[in-house]
Amino acid sequence: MNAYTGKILYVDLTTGSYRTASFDETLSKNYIGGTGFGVKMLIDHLKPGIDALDPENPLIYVSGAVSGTMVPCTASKFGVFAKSPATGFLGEAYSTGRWGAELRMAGYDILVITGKAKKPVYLWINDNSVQIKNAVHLWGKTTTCETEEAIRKELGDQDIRVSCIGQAGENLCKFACIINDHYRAAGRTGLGAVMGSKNLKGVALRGTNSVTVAEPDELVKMCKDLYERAKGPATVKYRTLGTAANMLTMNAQAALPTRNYQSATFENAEKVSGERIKEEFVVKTQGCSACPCRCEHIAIAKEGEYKGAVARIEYEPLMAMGPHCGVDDPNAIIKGIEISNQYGMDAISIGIVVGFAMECYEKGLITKEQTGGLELNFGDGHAMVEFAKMIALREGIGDVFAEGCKGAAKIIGGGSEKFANHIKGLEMTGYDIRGLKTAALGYAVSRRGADHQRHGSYGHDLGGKVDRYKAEPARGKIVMADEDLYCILDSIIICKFTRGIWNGPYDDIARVYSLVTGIPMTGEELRKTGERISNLARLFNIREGLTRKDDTLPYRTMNDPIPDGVAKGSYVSQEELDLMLDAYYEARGWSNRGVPSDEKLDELGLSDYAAIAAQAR
Amino acid sequence: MKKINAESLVDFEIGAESLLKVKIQYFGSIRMAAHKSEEKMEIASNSTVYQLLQGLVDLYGESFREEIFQESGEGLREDLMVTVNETIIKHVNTAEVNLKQADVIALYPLFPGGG
Ligand code: SF4
Repeated sequence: MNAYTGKILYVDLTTGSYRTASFDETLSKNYIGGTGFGVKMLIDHLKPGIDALDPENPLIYVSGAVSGTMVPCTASKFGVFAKSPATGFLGEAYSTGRWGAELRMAGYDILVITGKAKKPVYLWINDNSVQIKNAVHLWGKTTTCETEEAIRKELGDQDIRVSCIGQAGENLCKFACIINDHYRAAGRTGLGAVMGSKNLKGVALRGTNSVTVAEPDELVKMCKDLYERAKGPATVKYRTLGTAANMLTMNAQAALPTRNYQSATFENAEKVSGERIKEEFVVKTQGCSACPCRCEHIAIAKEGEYKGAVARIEYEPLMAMGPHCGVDDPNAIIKGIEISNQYGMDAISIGIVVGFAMECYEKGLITKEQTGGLELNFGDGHAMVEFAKMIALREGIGDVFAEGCKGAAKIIGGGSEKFANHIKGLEMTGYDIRGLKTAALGYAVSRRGADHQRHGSYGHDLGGKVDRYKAEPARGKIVMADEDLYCILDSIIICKFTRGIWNGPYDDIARVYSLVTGIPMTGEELRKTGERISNLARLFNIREGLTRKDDTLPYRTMNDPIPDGVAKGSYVSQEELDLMLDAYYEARGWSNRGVPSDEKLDELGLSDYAAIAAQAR
Repeated sequence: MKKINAESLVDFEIGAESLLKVKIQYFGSIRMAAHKSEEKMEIASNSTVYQLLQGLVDLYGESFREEIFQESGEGLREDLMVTVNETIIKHVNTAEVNLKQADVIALYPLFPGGG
């Protein structure tokens, strides 16, 4: 095989041993890489029903199908998988930077880590050499300087790539993430806690192998074209302004989560707009390896108590720590994002959890004594930042909120579950979906919980393709098609910012895949593969106990209409959700309980897993 | 108040009564391409949203065109949101939606995320 190393590295931290195994073209062709490999490895390696923080839960790193090659906007990506401590279902997260290409250059497409070390360790993979190193001195340290840089220094090589956790992961915070290359995160579903539960501080990589491709001349030609497209109109806005520009758009459309979704517009949105932040706070832009887009906007807080804080600015964390917490001071938001990077927390979830805590405080369900003297009011940037630290360190009542919205609401009670905004245990993201009905279906069925990134269906609502306020059966097919395409984007792995450069898009992607790997692939085969991966992920979740009732939306989304703005009065009723769910299941060839039929599993080559579906029927 | 070049709008009629006064707002990277956040314009009374967009392209040139239209063809970019008086206009309808006096047209680029 070209591009693929064909190798899996298994490390058992309990015994301190490792082994390698090979895989062949069957896995490559049927599951591609990234998501496909992650889901397949997880369903095949996880003992059903074990706790996400059990040492047996495998932490799986996967490279994308074209990692380490010249294909633009793809080569640096990697995915991380495990059973999620946040949801109890599929845990998956993707990161970029340089780590993904390095894994492959070290000689592996897949890394599976099981067990639990007796004391804190980090893994050091240097081509064929695999060592488990002492990390006692790194435990309790932040990610970027104190761990990432310290490991490079200790191993004496500035080119080493490190993926690691901060204190939040060590403390098993349910939304802890894994950080690499300073500002990049495998952010969602709490995989940092899985790493922490293994006493694993990080994975350091150095690879010196080259990655071969099947048809270099043709690939160079195609990549030149893709590079040109990647520098052109399809992506220029990511470079010039970045996703933070969504702020004013969502505000104008009453889709901006504000004060824990109590409102959908923020009166001070201009103050935290992408336009203002670009103008006044962004000091440089940079990019991932093999990508001409250079879309990372690095901002520095310029005044006040957080002067000097540094963070990469994207819409989601800006929304979560800004309007969602009622905060209009970019300095505090930049500090909040820096904290989430340094302590290793999902920068979306932490903002959603702090906003939830603020509403608990507003309603008197938690007190100033419990917050350690913090006035946890909406709009207070200082309180937002300090409370985020308390959560990462599980200090005081921060310990309760480190369980995430769902877990914290269970402990706090008092009706707080009615404004704990999560799906399947994963905190909501930056779209108020009460007035975005296609997105609402996408969120409800997303395999990793509240998520805009497994389907991107909000694009239909906001992009003028459908009536955003109308729930109708046709949305089922739309969401299915989006999900299957995203499975492929996340398997190759293509940065979604650059999706506009791929014509077809399956045909272009299939062509690149074949040129890189030498494995024949058509656009239609690729589409089918996306469907296969979606179905396998569903089977994984079903095996872990998922039923139709889990394909739902937060209480507030279904019961409290949007109070303001153009979408005023919008919410998603149970009838609307049921109508769209039925249509979605039907489009997928699933029963009305959301279980794939035997015919569908046969068609997708998944009949080995038919017993899971049979048990759920 | 600016008048859009008559060439760019179909059935442009001369005469104050036949003109509509509309406001156009630009957001994100579209704002950068237009070099302004909003402006008022006078346009022909029977102009559609699509015609207005074509007229703006004539006014602001290639970088603005790239923000609004697909690279190939006449279609609008999938990641463009067009609103008239805050209501999202379906792309397929832009050639049918006629503008009215005092309408506020807003153009937003959408930025789908990456993770
Ligand atoms: S578009 Fe941005 S995030 Fe995506 S690969 Fe390029 S530089 Fe990295």
